[in-house]
Amino acid sequence: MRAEAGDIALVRRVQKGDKAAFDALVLKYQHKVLKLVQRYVRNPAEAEDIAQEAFIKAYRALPAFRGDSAFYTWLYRIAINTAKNALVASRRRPVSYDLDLQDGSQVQAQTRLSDSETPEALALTDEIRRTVNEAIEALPDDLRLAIVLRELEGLSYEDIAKTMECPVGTVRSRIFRAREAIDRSLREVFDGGLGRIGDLE
Amino acid sequence: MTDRIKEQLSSFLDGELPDPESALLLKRLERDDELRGALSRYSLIGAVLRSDGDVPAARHVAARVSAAIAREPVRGAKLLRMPRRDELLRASAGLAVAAGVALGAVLLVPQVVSQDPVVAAAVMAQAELPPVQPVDEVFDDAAVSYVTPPAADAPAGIPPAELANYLVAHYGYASPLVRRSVGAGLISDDESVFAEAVPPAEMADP
Repeated sequence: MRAEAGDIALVRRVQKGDKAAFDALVLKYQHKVLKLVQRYVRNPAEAEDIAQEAFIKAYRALPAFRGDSAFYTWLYRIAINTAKNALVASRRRPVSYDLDLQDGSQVQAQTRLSDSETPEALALTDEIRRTVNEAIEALPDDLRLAIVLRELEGLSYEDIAKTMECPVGTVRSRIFRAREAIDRSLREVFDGGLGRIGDLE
Repeated sequence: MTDRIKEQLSSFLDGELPDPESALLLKRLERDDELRGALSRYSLIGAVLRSDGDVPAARHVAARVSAAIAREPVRGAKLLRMPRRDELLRASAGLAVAAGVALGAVLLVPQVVSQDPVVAAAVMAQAELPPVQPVDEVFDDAAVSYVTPPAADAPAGIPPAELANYLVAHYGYASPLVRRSVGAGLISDDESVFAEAVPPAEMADP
């Protein structure tokens, strides 16, 4: 089963009334949605408000979601529209006008600093990126390859197993151990004062 | 939280956990903040790896959304809304028609009953039925038994011949379904009476 199929399974659960399934979708996509919203609204607190509003709109619109597109593509459009509406409401100009609104992968990082960004938020973002990259480099080869094939190439466990010539169960274990190793480093960052671990959920 | 649970979480994030285990994990996620934190960080790791730029860590989004949707109605329940103006007008028109029909029935039915001898006879027959026996009188005897009440002296319904005559007189106004069902009922009840009332020539097809 691929990640998109997993998302669709969660969506079907939500459509049957399972709110915990929507919680899982929020936990999975909140960082991506927040990153997207921050292309428009640089203030971290305001961006979180807009991301929250986008998720609530998505929840209310989910009964009409038929699964013709991937869940994140659909969520992406809702988040973009919510951010644009927020900008109109606040009568402010967006950070950039040349964003491709149809394809999230086309959206590139814009200027990073604005007067509304807090030094703490910037420091945390930098630290997260640096920590993840260093932790990846420190992984044993088999773990690093497994997580890269999964996260960057988007391969299924079965395809990774064929590529690495090992059982699917081994792939499952390697990806988990890779994540755990990176997560240990991340928790040190949050516990180190740049952010409380309990805040990140 | 054991490594086994976290490994399931990792597979769940990739859409590689079977449905029954996903359902159990979702239940656990509802009540396990540590597990929710792990899911959030695992997804953050993926977002950072796939991103060219920085990825901000969402701190309060999930908790706030979770609290907000907890107040939302359950899926499938329709939200209440105020009716639109045209819907109110349509509803008012419908009520007015229904009220008119009801008023007409109240005014016309007594006249029909009083003018039509067959219907009047039926109504009178119902009116002449003996009064309902009080419950304490029915169960007065020590030997309580389920006994059919005695038949009243007055006729309980319309005599078949009179009903047949009434049907013949009003045959043209009845719907085909009523004609068939009532006529068939009469024939099956007492074919001879209906034969007397309706000449054979009228029963034949034209």
